[in-house]
Formats: sequence, C-alpha cells, structure tokens
Amino acid sequence: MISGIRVLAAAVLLTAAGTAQAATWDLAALSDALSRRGNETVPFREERFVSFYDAPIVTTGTVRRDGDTIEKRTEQPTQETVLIQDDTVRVSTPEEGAQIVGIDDHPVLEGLVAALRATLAGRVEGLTDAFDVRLDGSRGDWTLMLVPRADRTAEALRSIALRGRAGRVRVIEILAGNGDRSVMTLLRDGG
Amino acid sequence: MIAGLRAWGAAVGALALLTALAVATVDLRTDISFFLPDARTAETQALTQGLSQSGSVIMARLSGLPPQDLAALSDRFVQRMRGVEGVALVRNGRPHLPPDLREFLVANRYLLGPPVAPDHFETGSLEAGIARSLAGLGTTAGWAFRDLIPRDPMGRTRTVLTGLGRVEGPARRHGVWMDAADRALILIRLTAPSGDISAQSTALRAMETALAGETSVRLETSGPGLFALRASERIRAEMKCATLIASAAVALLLLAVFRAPRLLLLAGVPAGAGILTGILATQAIFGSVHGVAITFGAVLSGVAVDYPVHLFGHRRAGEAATATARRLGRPLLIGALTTAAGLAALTQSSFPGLAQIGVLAGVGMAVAYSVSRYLLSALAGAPPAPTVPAPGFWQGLWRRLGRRHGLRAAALGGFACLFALACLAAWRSDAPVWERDLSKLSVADSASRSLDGELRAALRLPDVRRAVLVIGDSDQTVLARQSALLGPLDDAVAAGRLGGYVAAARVLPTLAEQRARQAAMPNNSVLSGRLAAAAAAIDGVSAETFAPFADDIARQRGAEPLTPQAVAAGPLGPVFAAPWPVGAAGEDWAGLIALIPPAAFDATAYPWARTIDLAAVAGGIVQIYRDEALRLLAIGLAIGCVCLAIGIRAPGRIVRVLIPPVGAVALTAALLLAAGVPLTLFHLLAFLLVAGIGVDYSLFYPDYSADPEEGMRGLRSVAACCGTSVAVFATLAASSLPVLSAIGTVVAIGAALSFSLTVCTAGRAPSRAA
Repeated sequence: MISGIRVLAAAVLLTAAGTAQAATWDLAALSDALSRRGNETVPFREERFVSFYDAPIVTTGTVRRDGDTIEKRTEQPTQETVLIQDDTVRVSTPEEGAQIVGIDDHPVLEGLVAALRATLAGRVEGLTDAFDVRLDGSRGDWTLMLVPRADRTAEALRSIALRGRAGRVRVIEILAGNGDRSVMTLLRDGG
Repeated sequence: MIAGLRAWGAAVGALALLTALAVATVDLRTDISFFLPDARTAETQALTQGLSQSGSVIMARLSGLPPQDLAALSDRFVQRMRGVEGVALVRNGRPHLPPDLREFLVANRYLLGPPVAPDHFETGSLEAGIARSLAGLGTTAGWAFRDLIPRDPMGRTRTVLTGLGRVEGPARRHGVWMDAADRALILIRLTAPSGDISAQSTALRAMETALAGETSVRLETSGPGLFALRASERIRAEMKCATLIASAAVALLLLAVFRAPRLLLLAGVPAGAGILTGILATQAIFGSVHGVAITFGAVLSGVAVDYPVHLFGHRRAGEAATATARRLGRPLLIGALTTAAGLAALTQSSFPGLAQIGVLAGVGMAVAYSVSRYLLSALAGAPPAPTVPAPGFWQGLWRRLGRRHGLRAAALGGFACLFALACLAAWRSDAPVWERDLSKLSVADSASRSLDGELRAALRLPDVRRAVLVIGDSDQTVLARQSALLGPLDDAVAAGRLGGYVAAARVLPTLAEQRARQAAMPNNSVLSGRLAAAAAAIDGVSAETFAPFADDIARQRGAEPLTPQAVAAGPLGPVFAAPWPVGAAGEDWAGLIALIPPAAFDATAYPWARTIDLAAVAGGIVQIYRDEALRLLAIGLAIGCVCLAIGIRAPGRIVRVLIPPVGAVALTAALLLAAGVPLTLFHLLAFLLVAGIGVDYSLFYPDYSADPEEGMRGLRSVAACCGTSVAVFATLAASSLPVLSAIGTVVAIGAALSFSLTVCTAGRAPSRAA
C-alpha cells in the first residue's frame, strides 16, 4: 500500500519534472531549478589569474549552503572562511580572527556575493537590479552572463559568468576590470 | 512738531545705521571659547585642544527599525553623508578608507607607522615578502588589495593600517555599530571646527535630508558643535519669547503709570544706541564678539532703559525737556559713571568673554548716558504742556510714605533680620557656595548632556576624565616621549585595563626616526638589484613587475620627513592629535594622549608625563574664572564707590545712596545661598546689574523733605523703573535655560529689594518732621 503511494508520488513528480522540462528555458525556469536544490555542501577548486603572476593561484575547499547563509571555506593553501549572511560578509582567518568586510568597499566581493547568493539560493531574478543578465544555452548546458550596470563596479568587475546544468552550478568565472580573473569550479553534486 | 519728527527720523536713521554696521562687520562667535581663559598652562590648553579636536565630531544614533533594516539604513545614510561637502569622515562600523587617506598612507608607509625591521630591504626579506603576497592572493583580503602588490609587495600598507585602527569600536550587529538596545551608531567628522555654527547646521540639515522619507526612523545627534548650535538657537528662541512678553508687560506698565505712548518709543533709544555701539566697540577691540557677551552686555547696559523713564517722569509741568535733562544731569552722570566703573574692571579679565562683556556694557552705558543727557530731549517733544497729570494715587502714596518713618525704620530692621536669618540658613546649608561643574555654566540642558554622555560611551570615544599629557621642549621631543609610552600603553590595552588610546606617535615617528628610516632604505640601483634576485627565485614573476615598488622607495627615501603640522593638514588630520606649543614664546610643547575607557593607565613613572582629568581642569578653570570675576567686581565696586563719593561729596548721603545697592546684593546672595542655590559667574554678573540698578534708584529717589509734587514724580518714576525691571527679569527667571533663569531670578529679586531699601532709607526730612 505504502509502496503504491510512493510509486504514485514518483509518477506525479516525474510528470511535473517533464512539464517543467518541456517549458521554455528562461531566467524564471533557471531560478526555479536552482531554488529546488536544498541545503548542501559542495567541494570547490578555484584558480585565480593575476596580470603580474604567470602561474594560477589555486585554492580548494567547500561551499556550503544553509538556507540564506552561504559559507565558502578555503582549506588550501591558506585557511579562510567567508560567511555571507544577510548583507554581511564575515571573513575569518586563523591568525586574524573574524573580520567583517564592507561589501561596498570591494566591488569584486559585491559581485561574488551577489552571484553566489543568487545562484546557490535561487534568486536569479533579483540580479537584474545590479546587472545586465543574459541566459544562453539549454537546460542541459546553460551560461548566465552578469555584467554590472554601475560604472563604479564596472571598473573593478567586468563580468561574472556562471555555467551549469539544470539546477546545478558548475563554474563561476569572475573577470575583473583589469583582466584579472578567477575561475571557481564546483566539483561534485552534493544532493 | 516738525522738528520733533525730524529728530525722530535722525534717531531712527542713526539706529538703523548702527544696526546695519553691526550686522555687516561683527564676527559673531558662539563656541566654547567664551569660557576658556587665554590658556597659560599645558593643562588648560589641553582642554582647548581636546575640545577643538573633538569639536568637529558629530555622534548620531538611529532607531525605530528592526536591527537588520536599521543596518541597511545605516549604510545608506553613510553613503549619502560621504558625498556632503564639509564632511571629512563618516563611519558606521564598516571598514572604510577614504581614497585620499588610503593614498596618503600608501605613499608615506615607510615614514609612518611602527618601526621597519633592519633587514626589511634585504634580498631574503624581499623574496619572502613577495612570496607571501603572492600566496595571499588566495585570500579575500589579499585578492582585494592585489593591485597594490607591484607597489607594495612587502605588505607594509597593511602593517600601517593595522596600527592605525587598533582601537576597538562599539559592538557590531549586521556589520554596523549598534548599542545594546540595537540602535545604529554613526560617527561623523566635519572639516569645520565646532565653533563654526553654520557648518554644524548644514551638516544637521544634510543628515535630515539623508533620512528623508524614513518616517519611522528616529535620529538623535550630539557633539560639542551641535551643543553650541542648539544653545544659540534656544537662547535666541527663549530670548525672543521673553522679549515679547517682557516688552508687552513693560509697555502696559509704563502706559498705566504715565499714560504717555511717546515714552514707550523714548525708552528704547539710549539703550539701543548704547548696546549697538558697545557691540561695534567690542568687535573693534577683540576682532570678534561672542554671543554670550552680547546677551550679557545687553542685559547689563539695559540699566539705561531707566534713564528716559527718569527724564520723562521727573519732568515738571511746563518744563522744557532740555531743562529736565540739565537738572537731572548730575544723578544721571553719577549713576552711569558708577556702573561703567564697575564694568570697566571686567575689561581687565584674562577671560576674553568676561573682558568683552566689560567693554560692551561699559561703552554701552557711556553712550546711553550721553544720548539720554544730550540728545533725548530733542525727541521728548517740544510742547512742555502739563506733561502728565499728577494722579492722586502717587501723591497719596508719597505723603503716606513721608509720614511713616517709624514704619520705614521697622521695615529696614525687618530686612536686617531677614538677612541675618538667610545668612544663618546659608551657613547651616550643606549646599556648596560655588558651582564647581563647568557643564552647569553651559547652556545645554541636562537631557542633551546625558544623551551626549550616552553616545560618547556607546561609540567608545576617549574619556574626558582621563588623558595623558606629555611635555617636551619641542614637538619632536613630545613625539619621542609619546613613542616611549606606546609599549606600556599597548600592554595596558592587552591586559584589558585600557580600552584603547589615540596618540600622535602611534602614527607619526619623529623627524630623526624618519631620517633614520630613510637612511636605511637602499638606493635605487641596489634595491633594483635585490628585487631582481628576489624575483628570480620565484617562478612566474618578473622583476619589472616591482618597478613601482622601487620607484616608491626612491621617492620616500628622498622625501622631506613629515612634520606633525603636515600630517595635521593632510587627510589624517581629523584623527591626528598634533602636539602644540605651550605659552606665547613656545618654549614648551605638549601633546595629549586620549584614553578610551576603561582608562586605568598611570603615567606617574615618567617625569615628563602627567595623567590629567580634563573635567577637573575645566572645574579649575571655573574656579579661576569666578575668583577673577569676584576680584574684578570688588575692584569695580571700589571704583564705583569712589566715583559716587566724588559725585556726592556729603558723607551721610553717600552712605544712604550705598545702602540700597549693597543691601540688595547682600540680601539676594544670602537668600540664594539659604535656598541652596550654588552661585555661578552668571549670578556675579547679575549682582553687578543689581548694584547699578540700586545706585540709580537711590540717586533718583527724592528725599522726603522734597516738594510733594517733586516727590510724587520721583517716587513714580523710580517705582516705574522697578516695575519694569521686575517684569523683564521675572520673565527671564521663568526661562528653562539655567543661565537666563539665574540672571532673571537675581535681578528680579534684587530690583525689588533695591526699591524697598531705597524707600526705607531715603532722607527723612528732619525739618518737616521736627
């Protein structure tokens, strides 16, 4: 009996998923897909490229989403935790303890925070206030391009590109005004 | 009649001209400088310095929204305020570095801040520094400041910045400062000093604009400059209200007594001319006029309002106005001279405010006298008709007073008993004779004072009760000695005994130390060589990358070392406490280290440092102020008595004339002390006014031997003067401002007592009584 209900529920869910899949792939659909993902912890690997250094700066760690809170924990080569909660970014290192960073003072951070929150928590539509948003590709392989509207931000932040598959973000690439860039790859699906 | 009109036209024109001149030329001051002496000691100067430094600070508190919304509002508010002209710094708890300050710190990073390690520029250190910077790119802060790496691969900017911001601010919620009740706290520094009232009011308006539309949000602000602004606004408002009520009362009273509307116009002319001339004279002598001096000077020379009343009231039927003026010339001169002499002593005060009051009121009295004596008759009107009907009421009163000398003597005895009782009560009272608290001299009310204390504590601003004063023979010595204190200060902070401190030496080393640092910097070719070697040891970087670093070092190596004056004039100025020269010759220098509570730090181990209590210093100033005022008033009183003696000559009459003013002042003082009211400088000034009023009353009050018609006129005009004085000052006594109410109370009581004593002690007419 119980298994019968389970089968039924699964069928209903499948049908719903099929309906969603059949619909056009747009920001609302992306937002919907992203927000369906629950709390999760995903390992990441980030490569940063800076003009005066020929080698990439590689860091690894995890990104955890818990409701509206996002925590990026870097394990290698230097431990650091960036906690994004409400409008506050708290950066803590073992040596210096927790330090609160004003988003306004670091436009790059502002972009990163906006992108992380929007995509990991499924609030893509809110991004259109601060960015020109373009969604390319299909549900199976999409690219979301964010270009900041404010000149102030544009100096430090040229664009943010997010690539993914359905509700899962795979790569976040941030391009700074001077050509410096960071590519963050989310390695494994947590859920 | 036409001549009269012409005279009126001339008078109004002259007054208008004086007013225009005053408005155009007077540099009005409203800051705390009024209360501060020409400081002679480092301690009192520390007070001035402390006040002027924190002078441009505005503390703000926002409430009325949930914490999260309030934090967002705090950020919006800060962003808007940062664009406002005249605003130097706005902080709400988020790290913030204005671009010009950042550039200043980066450009001078090896001259400023903590010592530089001797091997800082060696190849090994450079290599380690570059490697550290590159590794740091993986962190948020390192990445955010990556643009700085080619210029500052050693991360020196961060070291300087960390040293600068060691003071812990208030607790933060949602990233911004909030107090225990979740109200957002904001600190604003203006470029203008606290004395610049219009800058304060502009800033205040900008703050309100920044919150426009936020109807549920409550903004509370405080700061020394705002105190001055609000005080001047309140004084203006209260004075306006009091003037309105008092003018109406005076007009009604004079109309009821004399039934002559013309007198109402006459009354204002001499005093008005006197006050305006006094203000202009003060401006000419001091280069500026303090608002408080105008208020008091005007009140003191307000005695002159009585002159037209006497001239009008004493005028006999059919007498030409010039004849009345001539007849009353002598008592008028003696009265004016006595008061002016008392005021002249004040001009010798070392407190600019007190000296200004002396000049303003002294000149005011002299001009008011001259106008009353020589010019007023032209306005008094030509037709010398039976000017005023002689009402039966005054005649009856005069006759009865003249007859009852027994009663008058008894009343005098009664006053003596009252004086003795009041003295006894004052003697037994626990209340202090003198007010010791400088804040009581301030015009701020207790509610705004307590808000100020609350905000100051919440924002963890330096304690006014404790600071360390460092003395030296030059500003460089002061800096060197301060830097010797940095270690013990840091220890106290680490141990939790000290909340933090603000010291110039923390930021700026001595010129000698800066030169030593410059000497330790390698020259450009050496540095470039070492950089090349260091870069070669690290994969992925080239030596050219760090050319900006080499350029920067070359520039700092050849730069003129930074003087405290240069730093104070730069972007660090608003938060930099530069040493200052003590005394006119500047042989000594002093520097203040502000302590943040808990301020348990003792500097007694250092002979050149003193832990001082700025509040106690302020209290000491009050004492000096009051002692000096007391001494000068005594001198003034003595000169006044001499003037009186020369003018009157008859010893018996001198004593009789002196009894009302002296008795009124003594009795008023005794009554105040018996009531437990500690005396302030303002009371002393009010006593001076009472004395002037008392002298006039007894000079113009006729002997009881006088002709009944004459006696009636004298009684009536003195009674009218007393009535107007009591009406005006009783209105002031009702003021909510301690200053105004103190003066009002003293003068209202003093004027009534002066009149009563005059009535009781006037000449007894022995010929008629016999």
